[in-house]
Amino acid sequence: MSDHTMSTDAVERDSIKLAREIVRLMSANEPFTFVKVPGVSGTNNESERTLRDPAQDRRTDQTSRSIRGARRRTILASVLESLRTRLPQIDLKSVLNEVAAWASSGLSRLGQAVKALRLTPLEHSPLDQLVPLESANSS
Amino acid sequence: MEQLRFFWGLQLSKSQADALLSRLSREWHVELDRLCQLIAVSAVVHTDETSWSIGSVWAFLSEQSRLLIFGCRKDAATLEILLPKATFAGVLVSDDAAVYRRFTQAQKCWAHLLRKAIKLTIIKPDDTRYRTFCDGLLAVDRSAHAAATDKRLGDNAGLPNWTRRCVASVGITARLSHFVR
Repeated sequence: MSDHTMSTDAVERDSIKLAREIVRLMSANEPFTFVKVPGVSGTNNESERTLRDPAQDRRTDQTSRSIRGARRRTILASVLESLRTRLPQIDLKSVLNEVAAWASSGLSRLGQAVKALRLTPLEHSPLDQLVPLESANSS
Repeated sequence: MEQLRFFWGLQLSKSQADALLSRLSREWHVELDRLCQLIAVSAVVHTDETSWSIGSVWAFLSEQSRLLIFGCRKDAATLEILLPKATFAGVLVSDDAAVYRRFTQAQKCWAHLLRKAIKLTIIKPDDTRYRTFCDGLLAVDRSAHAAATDKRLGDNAGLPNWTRRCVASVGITARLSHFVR
């Protein structure tokens, strides 16, 4: 059923659900954190924008459908998207220059950020827990 | 492949490109671990997820770090690995999915609420209850943005009072009572 042909009952149910959601969120001040905390946005538009391309790839069947492919995409997309926020511009040349700088300094830009915060290297990679290779090997 | 060939004159077969990307991902695995560490200590993290060809794809964004986890499960265990209770002390900006409800410092997405309210007015344009409800929400949104801009709230204790005043001033409680009985 399309939105415009929804029955009055269905619309009423949606409105009650929305009203309850708003009451619950307002009682916890959860829609208003941005009023108090600098740097917090009132919307989650940035995350939604970031997921638009992956969602489009899924719809057009441009995904690997394998655990190994998912892991590879996780690493490459995360590092490149993070470089996009840290470099004045992102293209093949700027990424190659960046990686060359990592090699010459012995520490990547992300490594420097971790070091500056005095974070100790992780013993286990989160990716191995989130998307374990064992599930790929067993399938 | 065609783009690489056209723009940079790189002659690569599909299997060569595949091998290079796999090698690059092995080299950058340590960088992903670092990104996970940086996200976990961020002051503000935006998150959202959608379904993927296997499992979900879940995005975690801070000011300078981006994590896109493909093929993961959408559950509390995944969140605990990336934003552990013991480490993450920031604000989580998200929609109102149940999986995010354990976070004490949260910002729920206003756009989601407004979109749902606007949708009701579009589906039932002749029902004035939906329009006044939507107008009330928009008024709250405007007041909240004005308060954020002029920094009128001096301390955390002021927020609940401001919320009560703001909600009362636009009569949203009365409008909600049309729906919640």
